[in-house]
Amino acid sequence: MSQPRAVPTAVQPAADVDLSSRAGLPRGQARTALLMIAPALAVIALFTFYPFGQAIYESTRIESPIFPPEFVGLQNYRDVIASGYFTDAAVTTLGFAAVVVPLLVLFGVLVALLLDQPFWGNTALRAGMLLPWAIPASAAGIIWQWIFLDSWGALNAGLYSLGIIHEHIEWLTTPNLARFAVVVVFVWTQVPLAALLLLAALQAIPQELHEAAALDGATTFGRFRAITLPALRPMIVIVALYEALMAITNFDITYSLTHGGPGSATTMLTYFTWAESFKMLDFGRGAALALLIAVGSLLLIFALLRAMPRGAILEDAG
Amino acid sequence: MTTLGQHRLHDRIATARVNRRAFVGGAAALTLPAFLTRSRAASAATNLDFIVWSYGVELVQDNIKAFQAANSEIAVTLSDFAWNAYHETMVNRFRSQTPTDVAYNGGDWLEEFAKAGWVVPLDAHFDWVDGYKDKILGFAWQDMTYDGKVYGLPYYADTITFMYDEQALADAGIGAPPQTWDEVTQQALTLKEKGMEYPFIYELDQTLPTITEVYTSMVFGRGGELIDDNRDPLWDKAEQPANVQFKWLVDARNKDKILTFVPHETDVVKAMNTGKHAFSVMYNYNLAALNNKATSPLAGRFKLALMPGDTHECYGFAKFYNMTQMAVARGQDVIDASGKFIQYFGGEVDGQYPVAKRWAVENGLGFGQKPLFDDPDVQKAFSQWVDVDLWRQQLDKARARRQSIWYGIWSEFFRQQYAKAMACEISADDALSASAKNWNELKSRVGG
Repeated sequence: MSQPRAVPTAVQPAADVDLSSRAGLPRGQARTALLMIAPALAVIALFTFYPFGQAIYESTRIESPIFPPEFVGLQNYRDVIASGYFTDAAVTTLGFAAVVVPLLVLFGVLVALLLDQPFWGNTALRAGMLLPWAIPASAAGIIWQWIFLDSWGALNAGLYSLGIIHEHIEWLTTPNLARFAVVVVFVWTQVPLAALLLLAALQAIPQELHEAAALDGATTFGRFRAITLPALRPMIVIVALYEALMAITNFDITYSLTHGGPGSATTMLTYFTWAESFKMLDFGRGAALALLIAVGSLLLIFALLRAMPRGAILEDAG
Repeated sequence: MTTLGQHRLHDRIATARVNRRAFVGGAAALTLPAFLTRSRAASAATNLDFIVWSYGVELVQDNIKAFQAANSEIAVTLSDFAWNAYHETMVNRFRSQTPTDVAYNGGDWLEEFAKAGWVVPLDAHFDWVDGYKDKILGFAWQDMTYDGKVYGLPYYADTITFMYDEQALADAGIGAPPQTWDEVTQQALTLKEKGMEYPFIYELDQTLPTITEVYTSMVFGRGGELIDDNRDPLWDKAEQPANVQFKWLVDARNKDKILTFVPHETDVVKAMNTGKHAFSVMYNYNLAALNNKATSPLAGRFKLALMPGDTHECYGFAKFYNMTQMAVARGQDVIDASGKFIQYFGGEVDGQYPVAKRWAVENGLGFGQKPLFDDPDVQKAFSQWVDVDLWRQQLDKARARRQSIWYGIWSEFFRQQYAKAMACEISADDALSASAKNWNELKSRVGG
């Protein structure tokens, strides 16, 4: 028997209040409203708009302590796109996202379904499963590096002592195995949050629907397909979008686990924003690349949203 | 409407608030006098912000304590950062003007930091600097010098050397370590035939400058150079030792399959102690770790050999204490305090080199200060883990590399190409020619 659940209530905007019209507010109230939001706007301006503007400015210049300063227009963007690493790193980044996002959704749903069942230790498991997500990504990378290391890593040692392998497997120095290792660690760190979000959505599904379907003779899989999955769809979209962004901006796990190697097998675009700026001392190119990634991420989100079935997120809003 | 339970909860929270307020107030009352005293003391002293990479931090702190005891007018604040992010951290600190008065630096980055105006030459501020010229090893002095000016005194100075497992070689019927790189291949193949999968292991992490330095040391062993007198690249020319050695590495990995790598030198030390590897090229102090009976199961088996190649030369370098432009901008008191600090840490105090000696005796770090060779404590400590006479021979053959402002930036690019070639993503020739192209572009941009 499942735990009792609250039936969710949709919050509908009141039809008689025109929130979009500034004319709807008396002048005094409008001024008060502006004053109230001014501190928040100031913080946003300071920590978002200013750095963003500064990045745009720097991206049009040669900004380096060792190269002569110069306005170069869009040259930094052209240089970054034409650089030897851009295409490889972009393909690696998109390929990585294309692999981990479906895996995270799949494992997230499976773990959520498991945790939705009553069993002894369920509560402790829910709390404990957040641990990989709570560990800083760079620490997770180092922990897993000790597991995957070639000649004295825990995984090779375990497989060897069990007689499964007779020569150590070069997990981190073989391109495809290193990619596999990064996927494993990323999924390990991200599954808890995905599962938790999906569990919350799962528990908001009215139990009566399942009971009625069961009375009508629906099988477990049939109920999952007809009730659970459609109800989870908005959260799956949110999880997919969030994890896609996390995958595209993933830096710390690869940096600590493989350092982008072997070769450039696991080097993602975000690494080069760091490298261009702080290793190669070319802050203009670093800013240009960061902006390209930001714009690319926005485009990807829009593309994903357009690719979703109509009303996948806000199905009750209209 | 609230329930009884909610009231109780509210009461508990209120109680907790009172208690917390009382606690904070009490704590403030207790600590304020101490804080004020400390503030007064701090304001009376000149504070130095000292930045290091994370190695032997407890020993650094201990040395700072001793320095402060001898110089009560100077207070030192220590910050340490991971070695693999040190360069980027310092770039960030310098660019954001985060207070930094004295910092570790190395030959890899001296040129760019000096060109950027972030670090300053010591001999522009202190007349005692020239007095050290004859007391410091030549390669170390050269590594701390840029554009004819001296920027530091050594934290440590060391070499990148060839190490081997004597027992493993003996077990395979090999009587002496290799003298050339061809012999390294032959001996490794012999070991492989006898069951050792990868006889050669070294550190290869494309984010660390170490791999360029190790490669450089191997090239020096063949009597080669990376660049010529005009600062033009040599590695893309087929007959040059730099070209030959790079191809040796790629072949050893991908054709002969005698070489493997791990991301950090400490991993090499652990891996060598499994008995599954016989050769390595690393910073020389790793030999002390390999032969440390307290931590290494196979301690005592690892020996130094002269760097294979025609000349047996190797790469010698110094990591050193550097004063920053920010220290100069803070005024004469800070400049003087920085000078005292650098001299205490890297120089001579009452006829002794207290800090360099501790690093040498306690951690096996090499040193640039010549008088330490005659120190009985140093001699005794080094003789525990290295053949001192052979080590002196190798030191005599050590040399610094030729400098260029863009070396550090190029090294970043080169390491990517290097790692790609090792991973068979591109050929050795493509890696070398791309690296030469990048070098020439940087040279042109900087105006070198």
